[in-house]
Amino acid sequence: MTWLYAFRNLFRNRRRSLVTGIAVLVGFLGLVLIGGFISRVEHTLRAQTIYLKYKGHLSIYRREGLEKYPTQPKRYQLSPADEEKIQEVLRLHDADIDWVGSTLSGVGLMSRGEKSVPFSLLAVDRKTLREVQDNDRVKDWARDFVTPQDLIYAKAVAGDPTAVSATPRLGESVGLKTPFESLSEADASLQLAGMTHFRDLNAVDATLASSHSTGSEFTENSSLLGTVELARDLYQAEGVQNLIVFLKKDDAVKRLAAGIEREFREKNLPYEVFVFSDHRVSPHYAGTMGFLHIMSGFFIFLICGAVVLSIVNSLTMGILERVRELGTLRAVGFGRGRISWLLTQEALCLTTVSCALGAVLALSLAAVINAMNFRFSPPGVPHSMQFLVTPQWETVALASILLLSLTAASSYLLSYYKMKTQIINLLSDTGA
Amino acid sequence: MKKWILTALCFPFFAHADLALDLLKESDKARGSVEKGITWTSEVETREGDDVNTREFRVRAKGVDAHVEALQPARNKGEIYLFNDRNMWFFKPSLKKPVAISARQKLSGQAANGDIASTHYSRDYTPTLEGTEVVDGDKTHVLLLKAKANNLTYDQIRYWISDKTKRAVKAEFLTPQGQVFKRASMKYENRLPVDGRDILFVSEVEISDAKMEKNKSIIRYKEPKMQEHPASLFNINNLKR
Repeated sequence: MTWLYAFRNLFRNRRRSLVTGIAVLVGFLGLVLIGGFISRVEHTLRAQTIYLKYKGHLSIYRREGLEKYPTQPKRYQLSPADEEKIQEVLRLHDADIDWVGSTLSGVGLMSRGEKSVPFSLLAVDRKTLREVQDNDRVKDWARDFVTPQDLIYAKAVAGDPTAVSATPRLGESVGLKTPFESLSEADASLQLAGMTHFRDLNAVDATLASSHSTGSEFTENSSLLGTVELARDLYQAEGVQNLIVFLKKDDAVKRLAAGIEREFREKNLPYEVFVFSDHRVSPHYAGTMGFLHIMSGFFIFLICGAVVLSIVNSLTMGILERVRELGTLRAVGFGRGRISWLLTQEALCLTTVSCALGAVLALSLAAVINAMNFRFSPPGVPHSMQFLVTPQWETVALASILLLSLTAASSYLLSYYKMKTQIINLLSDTGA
Repeated sequence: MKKWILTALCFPFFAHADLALDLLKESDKARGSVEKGITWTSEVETREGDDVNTREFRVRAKGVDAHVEALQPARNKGEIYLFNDRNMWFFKPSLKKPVAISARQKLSGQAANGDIASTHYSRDYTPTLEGTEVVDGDKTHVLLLKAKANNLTYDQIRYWISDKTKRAVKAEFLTPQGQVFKRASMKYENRLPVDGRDILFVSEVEISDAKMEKNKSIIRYKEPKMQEHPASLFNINNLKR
């Protein structure tokens, strides 16, 4: 019954209730839209890191292999026997695993006969190269990062393990012009040279099938993408650098990593597991998300501060106007806590209505923004991408809980403090 | 009069420069820089940590060209390194085309590709005589060699040439900033008939890392002999599949 009184009390001073409600609504809108933007960036970065950068949800290396493989590849590679032992452990978690791939990286020289230029090769197994293009999470969240050239390359490697994709700058440095997929057979024929795991020089033939972009100024001059078969042939590698595990659901990552790590420990196997968000595996993801969380924390602090001040201000005004009424309530036996709770109920009713309206408005606004297809070019992305805001129900619920808690705490504490005044003083207050 | 004084003052410098170049030319001969064809077998033993591996090459050189063919181990058999003047190529039978590579590229361990073929320091480097030193009881001239081009194996070399034998006995390979990053020592136990006289020919070059001296490569030169080679052997077009 008191909730009804509290709700009706909101209409006693409609203008003030409206202003306070708008302040809460704007704060809620800000929280939900910021949450929506961060959610979009997080989902996109996650899809890009896991699938398009071939990190997998989990990556498994020989112990210390993450740091030492580049300098001692023969010692820190995963041999076929290692792979078999790891697969044995992974089979225990089959229900969570979508597929398992592998990668191998290295450096060398790319040549077209007359001139050689250095390259940095990332080799990925052919199944992964094919699967990532068709993955639903990539289509939902990172479609801007998949170019027609990527699809052409995925098709090319399916039939030819010697097919490679080079950045436009790397191709141009050996005298080739984009589009590489249109090159004649003779022009597309390349030789790749590199030091083998036995520390010998070796070279293999390759076919330039397409182009890609890394989105990074540092790697755009030398990035080459190829298949594990080609890289093993070039570096005369018996095994691979690491295994990459793709999961059916993102939320199983940490549980599964812990489970696999435990299995390795119990079986005394010399391997270690990294989740995709680990800064040692994905510094770009970890760095960007860290920055976003700090930035959003700052904005949330500002929004919450503004909302709390609005509520405190409005409530103080309401109490000052209603001092004699509150004095009467005290005089007929209402305790301080009960009166404070009544005032808190009023503030909670107002916040609930504001949050409900704010949720509708946030979702509508996000739909309008997304439909307008604003495009921008963020650092580290080779082309423009759509500015998308994707509010999640979790964000709406969290923002509501946060604002309701702040409202309840600030209004209860303030009114309780004000009710400390003696009843006689409350009754004789002129409201001035 | 002024001209004479100037000439007299500059004479020691010119004399030093001539001496440095003459020493270098003479020492190059003992490392394969002869106009007529020459053939030898090189065994490269590499020690890095606990790893020891050995590779074998047949080197056929003529003037500034060299054809180096891998003989051992079996996985490398048939691989060819071709040196045309200062350009260098790598080829193996499964490749469609040869690959242009750098002389600085590591061949095996501490040995760079450029170390395996004949040495033409008198052509590639500008020598400066820095002084004399006694090495193993033998008087040597210390030369500082500076690269004339940027595609050479090393930027700078400090080179000790024996006064008695006119053969280089040790070397320090320097970075462009002048820091030593590799060291080498040479032995001459082979003999080779050149222009009607027997000359001492290099038999072993030991190249070690300046900081980790246990990491080293030893190049052993075996069975050197004068041998005519057709020009086609050094033609890059003949390497295509």
